[in-house]
Amino acid sequence: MGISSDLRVLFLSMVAPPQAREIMSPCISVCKISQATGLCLGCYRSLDEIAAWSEMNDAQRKGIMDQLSARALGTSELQRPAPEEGQ
Amino acid sequence: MVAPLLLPSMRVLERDWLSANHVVFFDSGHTASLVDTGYVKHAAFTCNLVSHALGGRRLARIINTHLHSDHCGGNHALASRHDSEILVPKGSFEIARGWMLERLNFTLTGQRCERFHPSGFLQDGDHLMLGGVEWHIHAAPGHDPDSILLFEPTHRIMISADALWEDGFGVTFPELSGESGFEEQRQVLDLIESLNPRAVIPGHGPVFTEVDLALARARGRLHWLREDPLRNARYALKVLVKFLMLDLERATASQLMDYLGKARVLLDTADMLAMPVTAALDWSLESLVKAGALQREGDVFVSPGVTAA
Repeated sequence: MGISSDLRVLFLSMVAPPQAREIMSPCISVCKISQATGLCLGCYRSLDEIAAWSEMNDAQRKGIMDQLSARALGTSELQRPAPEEGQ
Repeated sequence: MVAPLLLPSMRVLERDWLSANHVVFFDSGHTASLVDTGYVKHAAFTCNLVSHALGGRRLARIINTHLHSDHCGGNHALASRHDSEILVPKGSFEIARGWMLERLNFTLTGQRCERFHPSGFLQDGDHLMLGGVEWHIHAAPGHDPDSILLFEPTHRIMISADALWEDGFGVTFPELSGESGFEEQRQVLDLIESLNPRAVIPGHGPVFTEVDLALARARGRLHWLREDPLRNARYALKVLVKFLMLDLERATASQLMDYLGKARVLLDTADMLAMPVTAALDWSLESLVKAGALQREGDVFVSPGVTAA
């Protein structure tokens, strides 16, 4: 998908060699929800997904990441976000 | 899996760089508390995100780890909506209450923040009930002289703000203006080690548990900065320019100068580097373009990922 936090990349490149790490948030500091789609105009996640991100495991995060390209292209049918735990 | 490390009465809302992370605490009486509120540009989004997490509770309290624009920019909007009280670090209380622009970090760095009215302060040694458990306040100078961190000793959970990230820590601002910050940062890392947290919620980036590794990286980074303070100055320049570009999204060098040319921290930093401020700005823009953190379209610099929307 190629969306990653460019500032994080910048910091990391100046701080430490790349670590083997978990799936990082796709947020790029746009943080504006589209009224039409209910998705963020920057990272294409729903408010539900953004709120729950910190508590998700890697499989759940990957499930979202895998949908982002399609959402960005507007070719997905804007599937319902993955069900959240404990709501 | 990070979730079991935290408490059921708290929730981390992970943001990015322009807005710092938030921590929501579910308190008694259908109320809640929130640590840090993001950048003013995102205030409407932050209100929605926080409301989503609150599940109908009233946000009774806002707590700021420090008064930098990416941590307190949503204070005004959230406090207006929920009639929340705002607690800030003691050292910043009078400055914020009087809204002394010449002493507020965001003015000094060319950033923005909507005025808010703090109702009280927190200081080293204070204890505070959040989400039904007692949190201890520790002074955490270095990144900002007035910064605090929060620690819950039973479950050993820490809200470190910008004193420790998984890969480093925030810009050591005092050093840019000829004041001490590296030594304070060193002591804060020692303090964090002595508290021995199991999970750390940083101001930016995901919750992490490999605290020893993070401390080792932070100490390596600090050593590298102390060896040659110009490294801190160059790093700060790039961070400040990139931050401003995240806010503006598109700007020419001369538009950036309008914001940064009067920002004292930038002027001090350029002085440290013995560069005229315009040359310092040009240098940081060029570095950011080279690093892929900015794109250039003729005279206009663009933050990547920003599309006409």
